[in-house]
Amino acid sequence: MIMSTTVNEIRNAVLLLSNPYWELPTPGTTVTNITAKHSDITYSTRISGNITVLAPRTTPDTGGLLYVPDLPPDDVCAKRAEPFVPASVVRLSGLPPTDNYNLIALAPWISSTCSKKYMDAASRAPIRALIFYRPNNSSATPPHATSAVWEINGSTRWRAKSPYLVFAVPGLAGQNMMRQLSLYSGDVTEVPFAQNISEIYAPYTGDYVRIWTDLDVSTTGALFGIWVYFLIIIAVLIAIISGTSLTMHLAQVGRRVSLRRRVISGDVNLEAMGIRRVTVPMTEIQKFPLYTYRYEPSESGATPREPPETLRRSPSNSAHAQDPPEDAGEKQSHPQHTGSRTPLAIATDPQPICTICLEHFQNRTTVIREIPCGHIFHPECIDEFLGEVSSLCPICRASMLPKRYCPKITNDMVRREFAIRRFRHTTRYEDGQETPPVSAREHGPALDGLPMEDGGEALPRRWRRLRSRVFPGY
Amino acid sequence: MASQKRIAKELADCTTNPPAGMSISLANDSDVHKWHVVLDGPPDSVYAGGKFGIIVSLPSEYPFKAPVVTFATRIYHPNITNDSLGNICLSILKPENWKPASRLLAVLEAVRALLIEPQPDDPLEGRIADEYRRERKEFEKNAKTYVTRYAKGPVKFDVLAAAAAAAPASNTSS
Repeated sequence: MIMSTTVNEIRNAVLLLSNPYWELPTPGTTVTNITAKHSDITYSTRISGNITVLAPRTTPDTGGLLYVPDLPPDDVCAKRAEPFVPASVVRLSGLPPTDNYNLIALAPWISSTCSKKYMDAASRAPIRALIFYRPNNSSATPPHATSAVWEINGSTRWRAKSPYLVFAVPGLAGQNMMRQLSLYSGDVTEVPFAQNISEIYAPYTGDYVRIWTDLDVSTTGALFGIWVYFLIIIAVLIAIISGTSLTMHLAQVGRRVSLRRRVISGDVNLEAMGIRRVTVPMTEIQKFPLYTYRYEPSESGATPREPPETLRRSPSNSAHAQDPPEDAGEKQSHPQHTGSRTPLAIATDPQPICTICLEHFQNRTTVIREIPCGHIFHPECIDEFLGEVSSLCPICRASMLPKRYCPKITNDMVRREFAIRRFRHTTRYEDGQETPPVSAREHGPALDGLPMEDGGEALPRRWRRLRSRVFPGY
Repeated sequence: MASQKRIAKELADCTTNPPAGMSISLANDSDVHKWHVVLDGPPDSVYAGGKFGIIVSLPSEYPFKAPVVTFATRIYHPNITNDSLGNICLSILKPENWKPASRLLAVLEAVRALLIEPQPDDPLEGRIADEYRRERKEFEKNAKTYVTRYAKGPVKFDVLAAAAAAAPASNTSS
């Protein structure tokens, strides 16, 4: 992953460390930021921009005490660095125990060999970062990270291997930091404005004053990259989930609409198929005509059924009100029945009793309600049945639902209807042109024995045969 | 209310003009919703000579809901569970087939017809149905054994007592 670490700013400040015995750090050690309180008597600097990151590393946004890594005194690089590194600069030996403080190293880039040695020396201490500068270079910006001047042994591979953050500041800024580092290396009496500091802080003679370097580092590349990665994953997951759910939802809506259409067109009777109990709206039941029961055997010998006489109980029933009262008891003469609905068959048998309560109708007394299939009942009996129990005629099981009426279709109804259709298809396929087996006939269209969940029995036998051929022993 | 009236009517019909080979009574005189029927095994069937207790429970919504019919006497039959519950598979009693116009008389007649002619294609006891289809002799022998073991003597309607009595027997028979 490509990281782009940026050092936004370097802030140097002067700290007063009150503990005279650095070998024995105690909790009582106090650190005073002199710069923050009296910037007029101390060194401070801010370097922002013009910083070239050589080895980008994710590092906490923090700082450390500034020092120069030690090179062996007899090393050729130590000799070569003498003009740039004053002898009095802060070395590791002049710092508190490093398990209490982070360090930031400062070194001149004299040559690639010497820089390598500085880096090796720095990696022996727990440093946060190493700051390079090119001495005798007055340009405002250090060379770009990919420049050949930063190569060690002819390559820039070291930049990828460095265990800590390495960056470069402009040459003059680096030289200035180095100079200040040499000034703030002794104890409190030797630093610039020692007089003022002593007056204000009344330090012990053993107290030390050091330069603290704060780094403002943003490693947008790494963090941003990881975040983007996670965000993309989450976004993709959300997209997949919502897409799937939306697709399924749309499919379900489509199936519900399709079933609804078939229910409205009359292809599917939900209750007769055993899918769902349906009841007739009370307003529809009230539209079925009321008559006074009449039973007068005619001379022809053919027992006529009750010749109904219109009672006009509900004047609001317009369809019915237009109908003239009829004495002839023939169903076919009722245009509002044959006209508004098409019952399978019109009952013309004599119906002397209400089959719900088994009470006999009283001639010219009992008020009866006739439902579209021609069967008659007490209004209180049939109204309760159609309104609360079932939409099918208690005698012939014809549907009493108004035309184009459809209850609310649920997904469960869609599933059951599909299962029944599939089962019927299978049965037809297996039996060819023959009549369905007794079990299917016995069950009628309801097929309540049809297992809906596992589908073990409902699986088409043809499919099972195919499956056992493809996966023998399954 | 309407339910009570209708049941009373049906009960009167059934007791004044009882269906062939049946005697009908109420389990409890104050409750018309539970009938006890003693059915004589139809003479031309394997159950001839047995007396079978049948419990008819009428739901409070009757006749809008189907009655529940169970055998209190154990019976060896493809369409009746071979246990102390004695559930029956009868198409007119299924909720989707039940019509309020159906009468208990017709239901009891259907139960009797089921004893005369079992329906092995729509079984509750698949094993007995297979036996009925393939080894009719074996089936008849087993059915007759059940008749002599359970369906002789006074009919017990107490399902729990019947179950307790039947428990050791079922171990030996299976």
